[in-house]
Amino acid sequence: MGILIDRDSKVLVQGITGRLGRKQSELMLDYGTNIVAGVTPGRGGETVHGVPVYDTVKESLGNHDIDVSTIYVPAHSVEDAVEEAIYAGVEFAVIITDWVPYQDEMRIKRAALKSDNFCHIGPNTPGIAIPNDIALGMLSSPSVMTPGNVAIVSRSGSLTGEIAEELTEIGIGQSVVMGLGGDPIVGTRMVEAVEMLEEDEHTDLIVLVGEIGGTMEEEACKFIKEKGTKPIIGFLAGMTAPRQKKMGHAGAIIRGGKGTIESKVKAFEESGVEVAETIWDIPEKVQRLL
Amino acid sequence: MRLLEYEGKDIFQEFDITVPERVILKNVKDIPRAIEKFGFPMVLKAQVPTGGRGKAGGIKVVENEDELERTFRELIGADLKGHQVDTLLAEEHLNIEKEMYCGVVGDDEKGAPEMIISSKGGVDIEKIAEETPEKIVRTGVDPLTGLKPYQARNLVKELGLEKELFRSFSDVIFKLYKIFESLDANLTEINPLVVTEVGELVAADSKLIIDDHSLFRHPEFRDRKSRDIQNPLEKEAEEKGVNYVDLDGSIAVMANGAGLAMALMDLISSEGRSPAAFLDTGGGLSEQRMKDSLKILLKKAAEEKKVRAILVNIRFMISPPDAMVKGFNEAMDERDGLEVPVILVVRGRKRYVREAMKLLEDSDISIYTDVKEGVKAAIEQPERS
Repeated sequence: MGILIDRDSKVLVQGITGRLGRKQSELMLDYGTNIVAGVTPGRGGETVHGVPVYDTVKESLGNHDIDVSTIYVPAHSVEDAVEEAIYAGVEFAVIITDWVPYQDEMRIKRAALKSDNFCHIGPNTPGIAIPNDIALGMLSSPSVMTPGNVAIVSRSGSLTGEIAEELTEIGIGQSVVMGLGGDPIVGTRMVEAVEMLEEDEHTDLIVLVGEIGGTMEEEACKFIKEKGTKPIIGFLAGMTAPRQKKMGHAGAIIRGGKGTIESKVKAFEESGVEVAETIWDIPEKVQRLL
Repeated sequence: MRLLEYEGKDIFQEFDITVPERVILKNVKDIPRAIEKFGFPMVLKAQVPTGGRGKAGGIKVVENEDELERTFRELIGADLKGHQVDTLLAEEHLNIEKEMYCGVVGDDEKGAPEMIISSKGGVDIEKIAEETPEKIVRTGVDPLTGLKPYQARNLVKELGLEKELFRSFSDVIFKLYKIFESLDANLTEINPLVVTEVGELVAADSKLIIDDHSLFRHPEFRDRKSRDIQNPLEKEAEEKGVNYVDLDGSIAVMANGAGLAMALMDLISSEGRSPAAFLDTGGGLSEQRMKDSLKILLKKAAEEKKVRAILVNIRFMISPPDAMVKGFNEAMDERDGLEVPVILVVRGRKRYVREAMKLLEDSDISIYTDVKEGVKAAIEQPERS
């Protein structure tokens, strides 16, 4: 059990017949994820790994209970697919697709805000998983995660898995492992994830993985300083990155003095977050604070 | 991707925002056309995709033909803040009464555009915000409906400008938002927005940053994507869809993930060495992408002796290693006598890790499954002879 999803969540995959959707659905099913339906416009009536495919989200909802949609449609269709999910009544979406245009992300975010009960993570996220129970997205390697009480929340996809694996290697399990997405505009921001984890009875410690650029860490720290009770370890990628350069993620750019490592380290320290200097320091700090 | 000033002004003109009379100068032969069109005094502006051109000597007012030719020769080919100048924009000289500001920028935190105007312009908006915040007004825009004309009028009212500017400024705001929206921009800015002595509003400069992710909707900008990148390896990487940043240290770093690559750079720095390059392979582990990525770092090592090692970290999530291994082997086969240690750390899905190790058994690549050991191996490499 954990936040946003649990082992019983019924999952829809939008874009299930695409190369990526098909492959990842197979791995998610192997992990034990309960995928009940898929959607690809024009491919209704087919099945993928035994999962029935529908033409529209609305149609899939007419035939199944659905708790969450995992979205793999190509970047140019993401805005349409998410809005389709929202207006059909899906309450949670995980947007895996990378390279979604910035203004599409804005419109998705606004449509989500206008709907009373919809939230999303991503785009450009590896997804979210509760070890041994459910994996949505790419975090479906059984050997990388193990159940436990440490939550990992990360802006970087590759580091999400890396840090989970490091903890697993020393026998520390995770309550939830989630990637927020590497783009400047994402559905669930770090502060919202921390707020949920603060309430989550299965989480005793949080590892926050940030990086240069944006103000998500600073924003999360405001909440942590005022209301945080659980121990938090913070790591920041890009300590040595040059300024004004985009480091892979569109979100990882320092603009006009904002989003610097110094500002984030300061925010962490002032809110009582224990700063890990390198990824190597994380397991040892987790062990000590748990 | 940032458009050049003249490209932005062409777009302003398309959307009916007044811009100065202008002529593009690439060659001495273009000069007579500018003289004929608006004469002297004339403003010459170096077209490079960076701010602060005035201070760097890239903007000059010339009074006659001699001065024009001299300045042309001086500026063309010159290096301006790391960019080689190959185009000048010649413009009519405006009689300026007042300089103002108008801009639309995406607010990442709110996930919505913000419209900003100021009765002061000609300097960085950040600086205006810091020194005279009372001269700036702003409003958030609903990205689903776009900016409404009344919002533009409210903004101008709030700024408290003279009555003559009410309609014309509201109009510019509305049009600039349209440009932001139609071009999929991250930022559109007119700074300064000039009031001439006859009370006309003219966009004296343009700054447009187009979202790289939106180029499928804007094929007209595609060829400009890598145009302004000066470093040849960065240019090559951009063309191949790989994220590469050229650096100055001794260990070239590559990973299939930006965060991971940055974390590796940080590890190397914490161990007393510095990174020679950052490379994030971007999505997927295809043969071509892996080959292109490793080749870029091998090229870097071939160019610079001080690169002691190439450190690669691949995390297997959903793709099996076959294609990756093939790409790596091809890049290694094309080394052409170059000797530089390539250290590969493989992690993630256990089955794929084991397969990768087996497939690369006989290659020249040293393989590790522990990041610490891989980094250690890289930093312990001696200088290349």
